[in-house]
Amino acid sequence: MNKRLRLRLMLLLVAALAALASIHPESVSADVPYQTYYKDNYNQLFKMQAAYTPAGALGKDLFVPDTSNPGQTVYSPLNQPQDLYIDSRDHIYIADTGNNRIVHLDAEGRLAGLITLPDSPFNRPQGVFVDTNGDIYVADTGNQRVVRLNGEGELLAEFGRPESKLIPEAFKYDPIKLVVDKRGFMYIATLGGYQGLLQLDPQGEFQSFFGANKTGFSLSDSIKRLLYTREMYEREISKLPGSIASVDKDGNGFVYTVTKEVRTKQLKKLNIAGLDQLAGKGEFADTMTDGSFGEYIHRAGRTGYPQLNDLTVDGNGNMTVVDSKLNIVSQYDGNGNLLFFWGGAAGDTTTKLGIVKIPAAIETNSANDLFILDSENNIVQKYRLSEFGELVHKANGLTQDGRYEESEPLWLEVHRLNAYYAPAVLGLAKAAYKKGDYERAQTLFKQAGWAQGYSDSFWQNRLLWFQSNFGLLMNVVIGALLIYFAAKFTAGRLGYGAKRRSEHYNRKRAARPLPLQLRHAFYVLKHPIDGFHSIRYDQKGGLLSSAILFVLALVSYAIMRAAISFIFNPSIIVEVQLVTILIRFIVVWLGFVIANYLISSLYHGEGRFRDVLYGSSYAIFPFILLGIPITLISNVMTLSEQSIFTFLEYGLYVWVGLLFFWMVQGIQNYGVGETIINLLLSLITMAICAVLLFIVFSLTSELFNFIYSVYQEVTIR
Amino acid sequence: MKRKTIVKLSAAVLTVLLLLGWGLLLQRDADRQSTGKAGQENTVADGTTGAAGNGGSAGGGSPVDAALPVEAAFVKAAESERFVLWTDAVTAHFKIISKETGKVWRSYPNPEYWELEKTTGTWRSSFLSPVMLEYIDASNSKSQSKLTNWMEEKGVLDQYELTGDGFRATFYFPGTKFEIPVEVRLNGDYVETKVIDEGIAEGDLSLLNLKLYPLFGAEPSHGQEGYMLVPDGSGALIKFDENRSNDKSIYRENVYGADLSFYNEQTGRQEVKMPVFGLKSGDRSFLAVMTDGEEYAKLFAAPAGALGISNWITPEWQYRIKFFQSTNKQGDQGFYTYSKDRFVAGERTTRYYPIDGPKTDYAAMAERYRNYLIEENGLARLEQRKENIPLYVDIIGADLKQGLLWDDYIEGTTTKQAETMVKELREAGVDNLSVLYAGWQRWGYSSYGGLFPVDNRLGGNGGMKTFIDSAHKLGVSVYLSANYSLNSSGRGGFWKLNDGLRNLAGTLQEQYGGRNNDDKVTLTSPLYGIREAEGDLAEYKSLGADGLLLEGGIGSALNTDFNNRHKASRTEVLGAQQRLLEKADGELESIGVTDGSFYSLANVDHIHRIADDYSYDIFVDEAIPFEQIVLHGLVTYSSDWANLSDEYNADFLRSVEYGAYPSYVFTAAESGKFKQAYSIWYYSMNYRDWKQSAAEQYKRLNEALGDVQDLYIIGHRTLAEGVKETIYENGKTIIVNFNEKPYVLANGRVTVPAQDFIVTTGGEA
Repeated sequence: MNKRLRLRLMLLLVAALAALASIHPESVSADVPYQTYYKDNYNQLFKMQAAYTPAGALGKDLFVPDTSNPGQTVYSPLNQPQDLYIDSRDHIYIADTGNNRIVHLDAEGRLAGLITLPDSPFNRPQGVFVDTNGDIYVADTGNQRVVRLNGEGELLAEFGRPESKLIPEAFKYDPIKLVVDKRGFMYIATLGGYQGLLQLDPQGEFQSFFGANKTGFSLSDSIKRLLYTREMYEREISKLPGSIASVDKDGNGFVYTVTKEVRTKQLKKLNIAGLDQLAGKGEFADTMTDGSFGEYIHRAGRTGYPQLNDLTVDGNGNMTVVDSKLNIVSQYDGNGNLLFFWGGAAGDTTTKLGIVKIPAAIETNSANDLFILDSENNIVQKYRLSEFGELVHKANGLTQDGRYEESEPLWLEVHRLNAYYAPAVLGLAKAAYKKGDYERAQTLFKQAGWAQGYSDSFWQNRLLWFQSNFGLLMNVVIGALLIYFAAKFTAGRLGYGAKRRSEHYNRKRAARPLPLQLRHAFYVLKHPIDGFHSIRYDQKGGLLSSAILFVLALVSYAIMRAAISFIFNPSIIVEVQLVTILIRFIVVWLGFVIANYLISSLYHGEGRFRDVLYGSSYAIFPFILLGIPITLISNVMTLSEQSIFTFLEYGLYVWVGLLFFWMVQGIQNYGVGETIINLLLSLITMAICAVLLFIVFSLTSELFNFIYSVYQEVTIR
Repeated sequence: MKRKTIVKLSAAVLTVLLLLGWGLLLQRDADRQSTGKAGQENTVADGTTGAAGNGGSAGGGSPVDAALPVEAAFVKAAESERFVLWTDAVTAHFKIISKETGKVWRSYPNPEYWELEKTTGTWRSSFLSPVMLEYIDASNSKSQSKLTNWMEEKGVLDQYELTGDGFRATFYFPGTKFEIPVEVRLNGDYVETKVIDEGIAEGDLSLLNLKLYPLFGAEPSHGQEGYMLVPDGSGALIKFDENRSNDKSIYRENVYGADLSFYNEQTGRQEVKMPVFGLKSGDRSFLAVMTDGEEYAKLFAAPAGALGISNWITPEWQYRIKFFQSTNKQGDQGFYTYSKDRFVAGERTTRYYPIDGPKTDYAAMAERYRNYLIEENGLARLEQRKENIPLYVDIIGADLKQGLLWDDYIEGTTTKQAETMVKELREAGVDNLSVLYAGWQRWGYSSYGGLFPVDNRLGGNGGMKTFIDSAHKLGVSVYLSANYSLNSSGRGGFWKLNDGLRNLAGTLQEQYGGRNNDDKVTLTSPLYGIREAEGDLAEYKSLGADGLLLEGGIGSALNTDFNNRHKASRTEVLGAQQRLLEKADGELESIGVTDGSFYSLANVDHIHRIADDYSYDIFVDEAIPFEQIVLHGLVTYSSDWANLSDEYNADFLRSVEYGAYPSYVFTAAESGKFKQAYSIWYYSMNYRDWKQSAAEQYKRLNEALGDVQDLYIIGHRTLAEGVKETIYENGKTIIVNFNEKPYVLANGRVTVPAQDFIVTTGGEA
């Protein structure tokens, strides 16, 4: 596609979106100018009450002494500020990048001082950090240095590019963000520094690179590697691991990083050894989430992937990240479980309380208020926890500490206020499990959609059931066996069984062939090639019986898709509808029948169309036999028996596949080799048909649209 | 051989059919992908940016210079009991002088501060000019809209004449060839400015919008206290300040909300429900009411520093608004353009009520507006109030969600369960209850259109009648909620191609149907919806319902319809809605509207879930209960659902402050049951979870508001940050403290506890 056409298409798309947006004016909820959401582990969004409410805008009225006019003040707004830090006294420090200064506000947001370092001025400083002793560290990006100042803003030390053999030549030392740990070691994020954080000791000596990201390697990469020349492959810059965008730390010695331009592990919680504590953790590690951080709102103009810009960790260990691209604030607890998120594209006409245009940095004060620095509107927005948010924090804190029982009343209240908030259901489920109330735990875990918990409590319940019903169960089994043997014995004695069966067979054959045709399905299972062969040559199958078998198989397949336990089949929670699934089944089956018939008739096959049709109906017979049993069994299994379930399920598909193979062999009277070739060709034919159809359809609709557009353009303009 | 051919032939046919089916499936997926994104961008710039108009050329009279009018040359044009109107024959500017206090309101900037005005270019002359307008050259599809004004073009005043109670004149624009006839008259305690639509003449250019006397009453922020009142949410104040931070934000919103047939700027603001605005400067103020043609107005407010040094606020009369001309069948490709025809509203009238009495604050403005509604719209004080305040409960009958093969019906509250619910709420201590039953129609809430009969699974018409009868025995009134602006069911003979709302390009207007659902719901033609509602009135009556609660359109929103079968302008839709409301009010006991607009007030008894917040614009300094001050004692209104609140306690306190009755949305079903519902996404609705706290809050509110239900609010102010005082006619005073610290009143004797309220009788002192 050439560039101009692409541009044109993009413009059209934009216009289209504008049209959609215009018929859908944004509704505003009361109390807060944004909507807060929760996303469950099946990627379903739920609107919820606000967790944080806007509490003010700071830094919009900055007046500094006028140098040319003593005694007067002059308005001096922030200019593209990039970083924010709140110290232990709740004073706010802003890296006012565009003005080459650090702005110091007191806890109420009044101007408390400006740090400009007149002897050695800053050049676009992008990061600021204040140590517990009041020392201020500034990442002076433009000057390629980190400076350490005392509380009065006097220079104490200056750290340029560290000297070490371990630092590669190509490494660019442009510090953007930094934190300093208790020992005085600095962790510096540098612009484009994919090696990780630069760790320096208090003297500025290089220690190591810390918390580097890994390079992703995908299937397409391996193909590229195979096909590309070395030069071409190396030119792929995306093969560098993402560079760390920002860094923060908590009181327990963990260092947190956020990374842009990666799809997973955007947020990391690193221990002293540089190991990510969030990897593979989180409640929902076993379901459909993929370990990615930074949320987005479906349908609200998603134009890319989250690009996390900064994070903050509050007193309870909850992590809040801001996304500078999609403009979303997401909060996670200390283990990386989503608590809530809000935001979305800001209207471009107005500046509003609580609405951030470009979130550059985020910080928390001691009261767990959030502060978000808006580098477009040049203000700091302050947010306070709502009653609901506070309740969730309290309850979740207890749950994370394992104090499930204590958390129960709090979660109950959260659940009363919001029945769809999965963490509350999960908290209650854990409390119930802890107390041994497995019935309730099972229901709640299912409601929350957490397979592992559900499976565990179901395991307990199943055990209890077996324990209490073991006697009865055994009696039933023994009784059934006794009756069976007794019946067999008497029948053998009287000579009924065999005779009656053969009579039955003969009588029916003469009267109505349908039951016989149906019974032939069982014969096919036992002697597939022979069975299919006799469908072709002995008219053992018929249209009606095939139709019945097909419909039954379809129903059985539908039951499987709809009723297999959610722990093995998580998609049922999201995709409830069966119509698409059924259509897909029919289309694939019919496509195969036709493609196979076409190929066979060219490839000296002996089967007629109806034989292929009948045979294919008989070949899916295992669905009828096994579909419902598998569905039932799945509902009494736990995750620990997953291998059995998987075996059964795959076994079913393999069996059906084999039957299709023998069907072709028997009906077309092929050898094994011929069958394989025939099947391959059939599949290729199916694919080609699909592609052709797709092209034909999209082209005709495009053509029609094109003519309509031309007509419209001519008549309107 | 022959048979084989037939088989082959049929195989071929089957293949084609199959492939067709498959292709359709794939195509659908592809379509879904392409429409799954949304965004916003407009291709034609809208707004107030524009270039200077061209220089003047002589017309009929003598061209005018861009300068302040010479006040010495003013003549007395009219006089009333309280005011004198002086006008200028050169510029057609005027001023009003209060006979009693001598205070002056001018239609031009205050000359005292004019030399401080540093703005240059078109804007400078715009401030001086009696008329400013925006136009576009429609012959060129690439042209941008431009701003001009009468003085910039060295305009000519035609046919200026005194009429006894004012004057008439036509502004002629020599450059752009526009002629704008206007009339100004003084009547009693107001002065009325009017644009006469029939007399407007255009040359080759197309008029987009105009502002008449934009700087009426405008004042810079110099020393005096003052604010502009904008009808944002329940009312908001933009206080006068020097605006040294150079904020250029302005307020510009459609009166009565967006018109879906046209382009709407995405401001994310609350809709303007009241056609009023005001400005207070020092010890004088004015209230302005747009009385005619307001459905085609945007309210425009510029705080000092945004556009010039003045704080100014004015209606911007719309004559053309751009719309999306689609060029493909889906309606998603195309461009923005303007219609050939102007909007015609007859007259566009603004009444300015100068206020110089002892009280000039927003409460005084609200009082004047209340009197206006009583005098002009026939509203009257509430009668026959019950002893206790009403609690409004929205009951959700049912909704739909996606099912295995077809939509599943989610039962929320059957009529039987509703009986129990009402009984339990009464027993819990709610002495005056009003039920608003929603989602009762066939297939529940998301099944719009063809509403009757009541769904059998809820009890059918019979069950509903039984419920209403039993509710009446308990003294509970029952409204049925209905939305006539959408149709998804196709019932009632609705066919979307015939009866759907269309914009000027003929594009059918639809909106998304619900969560995770790509199906779209058609917006009905306003006149179709009104007719359907009219037809249903008898049904409501036969069920014994006390009233009808209109949601989603009638009484609250206006859309122009270009569907040839039901064609109606915004003005016509407004008229049709008013007629329907009148008829409904005649047939049923009472009519409620959810967040209703003020054009419906004459026949509406209850405004449900009234706006009680503002839009969080940073230039807005305070949200005030202007709407509530106007309405208290005239119609009842309720606050938004307390069980879905963002801040439970603060919202409760706010409804105490605003005199709003509580409302809840309830189901008898468990809260979790509606998880996947198409429309009802509310996360906590089980009434058993809320019964107790609702009854407690009701009791507290009832103590505070029970005896002032039919009384007007005569005073409202902020005592300290987060501390608000509301005074009723009988002297009852409610002081609400939103802060985390207790507040001690100025007399030092009374303390308002933190996040609580007190009721006194003697004001603050």
